[in-house]
Amino acid sequence: MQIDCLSCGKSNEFLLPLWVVTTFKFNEDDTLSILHVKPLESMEDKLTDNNSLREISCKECGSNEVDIVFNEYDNQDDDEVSALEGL
Amino acid sequence: MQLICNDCWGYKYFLVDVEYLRELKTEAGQLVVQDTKFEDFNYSESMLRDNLNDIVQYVIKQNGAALIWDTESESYQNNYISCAKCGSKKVTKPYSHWHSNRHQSLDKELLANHKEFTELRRERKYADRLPVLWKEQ
Repeated sequence: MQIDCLSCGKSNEFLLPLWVVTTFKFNEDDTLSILHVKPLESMEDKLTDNNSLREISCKECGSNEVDIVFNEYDNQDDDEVSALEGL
Repeated sequence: MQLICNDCWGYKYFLVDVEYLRELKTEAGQLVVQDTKFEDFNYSESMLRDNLNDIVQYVIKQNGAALIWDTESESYQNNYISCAKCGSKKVTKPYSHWHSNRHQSLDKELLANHKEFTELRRERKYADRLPVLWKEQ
């Protein structure tokens, strides 16, 4: 798997917002304590859904133009494939 | 006591939906998911705590604005926070005007007060006239 930023092309780190359901409690002094965090969205679904791709942003430049390649070996030329097979 | 569930009267444990930030990184073809950090500052953790605090403070401050009218249960329900014990969305501030168990729909309220209103109109109609005790000759 490979994620590329089409804007800066440098970064290897990306940010993805996800909704979670948080169980919390009020303490005696009215401060909050978090007891449990459970994801509401599937990260796999978000990565494969084209509409959600815009939510992924580059950590370096903040751009939403991101390309995800799930299997980078799919796009190899015949020569590269035969060379790998030869190895 | 900041918030109270109008069904089970719990005032300590609640649930809220919050947006959380994750960092994706690929290493040798593998996807690594972790908290995002900026110079050792854990931004994911901070964002979760800040968003939780923001929503809770908003609900406490706005109260009525955070509630929506549910036609099925005929009660006000909290749009953001639910009770962690019974799952009810009837979460309000204590001693609130929006206390869901005290509320009734406008139709029911008008119907319940219909008799009183009829008496009021009758009173208003004859208010400027003295009662006639005997016939004038």
